[in-house]
Amino acid sequence: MSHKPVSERVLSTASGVFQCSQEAVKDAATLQDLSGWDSIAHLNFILALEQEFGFSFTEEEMELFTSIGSVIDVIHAKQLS
Amino acid sequence: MTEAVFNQTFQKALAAEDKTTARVALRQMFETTPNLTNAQLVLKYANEVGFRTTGEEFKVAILRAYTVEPLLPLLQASATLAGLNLRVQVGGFNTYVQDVLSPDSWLYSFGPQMIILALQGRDLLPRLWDRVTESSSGGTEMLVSSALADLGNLLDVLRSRCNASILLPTLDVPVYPRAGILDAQALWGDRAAVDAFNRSLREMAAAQTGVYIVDVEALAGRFGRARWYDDQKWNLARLPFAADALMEIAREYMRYVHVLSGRLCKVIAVDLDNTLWGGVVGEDGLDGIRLVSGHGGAAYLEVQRVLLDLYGRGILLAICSKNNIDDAMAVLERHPSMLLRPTHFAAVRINWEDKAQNLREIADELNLGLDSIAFVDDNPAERDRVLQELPEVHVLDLPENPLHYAQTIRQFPYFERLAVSTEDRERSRYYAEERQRREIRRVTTSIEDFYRSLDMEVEIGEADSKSIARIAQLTQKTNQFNLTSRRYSEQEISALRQQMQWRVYWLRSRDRFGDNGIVGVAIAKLDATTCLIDTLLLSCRVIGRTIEAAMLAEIAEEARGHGARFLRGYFIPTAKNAPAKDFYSLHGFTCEEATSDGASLWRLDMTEMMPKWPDWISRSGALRTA
Repeated sequence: MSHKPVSERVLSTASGVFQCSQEAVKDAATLQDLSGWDSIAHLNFILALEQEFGFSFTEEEMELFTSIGSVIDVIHAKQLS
Repeated sequence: MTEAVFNQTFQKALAAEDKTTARVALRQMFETTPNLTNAQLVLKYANEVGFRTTGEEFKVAILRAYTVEPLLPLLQASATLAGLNLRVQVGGFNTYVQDVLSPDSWLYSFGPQMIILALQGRDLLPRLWDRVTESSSGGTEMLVSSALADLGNLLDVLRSRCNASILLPTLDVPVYPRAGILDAQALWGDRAAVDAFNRSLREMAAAQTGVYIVDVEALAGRFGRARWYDDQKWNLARLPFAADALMEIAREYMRYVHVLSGRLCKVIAVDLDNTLWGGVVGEDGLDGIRLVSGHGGAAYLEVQRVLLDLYGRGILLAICSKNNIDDAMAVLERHPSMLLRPTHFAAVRINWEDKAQNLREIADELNLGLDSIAFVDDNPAERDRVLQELPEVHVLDLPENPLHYAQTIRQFPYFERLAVSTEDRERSRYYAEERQRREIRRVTTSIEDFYRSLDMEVEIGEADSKSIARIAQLTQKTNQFNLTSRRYSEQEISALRQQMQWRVYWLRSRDRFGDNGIVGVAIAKLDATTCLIDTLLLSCRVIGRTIEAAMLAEIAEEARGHGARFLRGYFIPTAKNAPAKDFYSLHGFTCEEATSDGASLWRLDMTEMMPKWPDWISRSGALRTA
């Protein structure tokens, strides 16, 4: 398992799935603003996060996945629980 | 090494524009951790680091009743790493029936080589999955047979409209059966119903051409059925599988892509010490190496078992080992626990030369490209050397633990086959026999000794109903040792043999290594003075062993018996029949006539000289005594 901070791992996963730079991900207010976003990419993003962090998300958690910040928050909260 | 290390190496190499290192690292990243993120990385950088695809586009259509999109990057990345030019198109969600039935469907204009039907028990046996209990076993049986009938109709339409290979999935059982342990007792419970369905599905596939089964049920079982599904994703996005199960499915589909696009290995070249047996025979001795289960030999015996399986599939075995040949051969010939013997190997290189060079020679000897060779060696340095020197060769990345060697070989997609013919099964044996013949040629001093050492036996007979097909086939296929290259159909052969003046002979040969079957044909026309040789040919399997002399002697005797004085025959040169060029002059014929197109007519006066049957070939079931 990687020892990099959560935010860095989320950013690199997002930039891979949405095919854009990490800066673009950071700058986007919501994930839907990214040019590479569509419902399939969103699904792939969730799957890639699950593989990256080794747990799966509940429906409630997935509903919170609107911006990159909220994704990072959800993962932080999950790791603490 | 871990993914993180490969990732660092990759990033550094990318920054330094070292494409080769970047390529290797990217491949290792995806192979050690085949997840979506790494798949995206492969696809993103494929061009930049120079992954090349070769060959024509291989088109795959997926007709589906669930979300398959997350599989696509995994399939594409796997294809990219294998150098395959893969194009995938996916049908609408749950529109697979329309996709097939509508004659102007996208499916038929796309023109795929392979069609995947991505369906599940949920779609085909919904009542089983939706937990609507059938009151009677008869009800379940009906359910199964009507689902099968629907699928069968769909398949018939699909088969009649396109030539693509069609992949049908086996159905999986619900993770927990409706009836609990009672299901195990029921003749038409969940499990029994799915088993019945899958059995009929196999029969359905076997009855069609180009329809294959993907055993999703076995795949789920291997992976762990309880981990296979993710209800969350099913509810959210109609994706039935958990994230980690996706690669298992992608990998399985890729096996079919490999076979159907012809990306196959035909040879597996193996090391000996610590690969076929435990220990080093040069140091530990014949009695010191480990080949007994329970005494450190199980892993190596299992490797030998896998190799035997591949041998049965028609894949050639070869040895590429740094060893003293005497030590190694002692094990191969005499060690009581060995499952593999020298006769299993089509090519052998046991010496102290560079392995890359030895592999090149093996490829030459077997007349195959380097890209059809897979190389198995426990020593990472040797593997690396071959990787560097011969990038075309498929070097298997063996794990640390020898117990997992066999599994790694078994899972290698380039050994997959979708059919095994009798010829495939015989191929390995034939090559191994040929190698032994060549070896004898090398150790025997004179050519006559070589002929004698083969213990050849030849039988010649006249064409009958059983041999006509083979005779016609040989006239059509034989290019090298063929004096006139005249091609005949079965009907023509059949007509010739009914004419008084014509003789059609077959020749069958055996030697100490095995039976070669019918490998020669002669066709002659007899009149009062002359026997005209219309056709004389030998399969390339038996060229260079004087068998043609036996054939000629037989024809001559028969002609003399009928009172003929002369043997005559044409030699008609082609691009390929140089091996037969000197046949007539070597047997004492004189050239009567040479035409401008290079053909020549030859004659032998049998009162001056009779062609002689070689005394190292024994004659069996001879025609004259028949």
